[in-house]
Amino acid sequence: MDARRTVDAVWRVHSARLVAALTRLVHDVGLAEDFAQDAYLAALEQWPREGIPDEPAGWLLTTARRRAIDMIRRERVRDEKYALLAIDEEAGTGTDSELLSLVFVACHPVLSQESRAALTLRLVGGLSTEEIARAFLVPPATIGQRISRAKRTLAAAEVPFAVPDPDDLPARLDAVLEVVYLIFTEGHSATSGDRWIRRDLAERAMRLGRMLAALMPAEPEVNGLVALMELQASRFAARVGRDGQPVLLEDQDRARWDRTLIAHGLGALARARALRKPLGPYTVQAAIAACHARAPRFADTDWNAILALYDALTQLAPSPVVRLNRVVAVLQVDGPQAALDAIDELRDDPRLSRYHLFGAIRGDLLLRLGRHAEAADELERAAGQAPTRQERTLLMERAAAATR
Amino acid sequence: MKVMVMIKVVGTDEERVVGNAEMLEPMDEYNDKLTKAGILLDAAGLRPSAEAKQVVFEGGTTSVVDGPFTEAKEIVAGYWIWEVGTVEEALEWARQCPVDPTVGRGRLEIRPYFDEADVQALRD
Repeated sequence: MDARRTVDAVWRVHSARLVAALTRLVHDVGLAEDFAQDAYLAALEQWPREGIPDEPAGWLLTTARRRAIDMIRRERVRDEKYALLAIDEEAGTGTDSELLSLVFVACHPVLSQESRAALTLRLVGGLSTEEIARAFLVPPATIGQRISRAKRTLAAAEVPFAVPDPDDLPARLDAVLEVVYLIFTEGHSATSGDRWIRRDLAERAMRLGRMLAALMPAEPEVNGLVALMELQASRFAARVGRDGQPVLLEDQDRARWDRTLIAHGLGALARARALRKPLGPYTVQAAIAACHARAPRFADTDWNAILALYDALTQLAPSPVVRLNRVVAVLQVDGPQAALDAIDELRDDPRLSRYHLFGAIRGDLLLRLGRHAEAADELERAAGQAPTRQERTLLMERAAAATR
Repeated sequence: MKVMVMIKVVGTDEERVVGNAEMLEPMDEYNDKLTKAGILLDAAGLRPSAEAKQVVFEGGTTSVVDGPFTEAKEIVAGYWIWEVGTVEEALEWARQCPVDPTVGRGRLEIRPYFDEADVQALRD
């Protein structure tokens, strides 16, 4: 077996808790990660030669801890830290609360959102700078700078290594969930470039979400987000046609939806609801996705329920995209003219004027109302705004078909 | 990637493995670890093969065989479905599975799922 792949896998599996345990010891997430990385490099050197240790996670922790002690002795850093290291010789490889603290530090509001995403993937996901760069389609140097700047910012702001107090928790948790969902949507919709789905990244986000749900079982929105991601991801295989072109929900082969993800996602949604707290925006969006997941055929979709959920979502998290999606539900419940009236109310929203789905939906409504020339114009404009080649092609084809 | 991880036991060991009360607690702890790692999608233990039946297709005929299958070299006693980054990651998790030292030989088999690209290739 390839030793390098084994070391990488062991690292992936244990690094988050390892970095979390080290951070509690040295009170600096950047320093902790450096020691963890040292241990990883030592493993790369030793394991192929000497074999994989029986307790690889323990080996990594012991090695990293030894490096930390060496440095502290060498640089004669404050005595209290050294005392702490000595006491903690028996500590395990990262408790649940240490792991959770690590997530909250990586997603701390002193950092920009893109730094939070990169740092979370690095510290919690165990990804290398190169892997993160590939995921976000930016040069590795950019990610490297982003991560080292983020570590410096955290150190300068003296961000405490802890789970936030109950008073701060809601806002801080929002920030964490935002980062997880950002990572998911980056994989799910591929905002740039031609790759329609970058499944790996979406899977990583789902693992992060499930981890958080297990660590914070009393927070409904964590389960709501897990449900939302899993129900959306259950349609990955059906979302893309033979030549990589997107397939609309209506036309998807539902036999290709992932039943395991649907079952797990519906379970997560049920757990979120069972907490009997007011539903948050992720849970409501998950409930909408669940209406689709439960319908054996497109014609079986409970559009009345979906429209009611969109009305709720418009109150909870009013955004132009939510209002645009609501239009699709209006179409199914009240017909194309009502939907056109609803979408025209959004026309003046500058946030939608360059969003290709606005034109795509409006063009479709005009088509249903028999207004072919206007539909073609609208679809062509939308094609010009589409972020991926596949979507552009699809919209151009629909524009051409409108006047045929 | 999704993998199915099957617990396989030798037929003669089945009684000691299936429904072993002493293994419940370490298994709960292990499942808890998998859950907190965010990889666990599904898990189930299977009732003993004494309650199992096999449908056998052979030479155009179909017959039914009743359990137990004590002669079998491998009986599936349970399974998990995990979502992991690589097969090697699944191996690292499988390695941590608690074992009953009184059982002669058990194994976990890790089987990656066909992904959509594989299925697409089969359809073409």
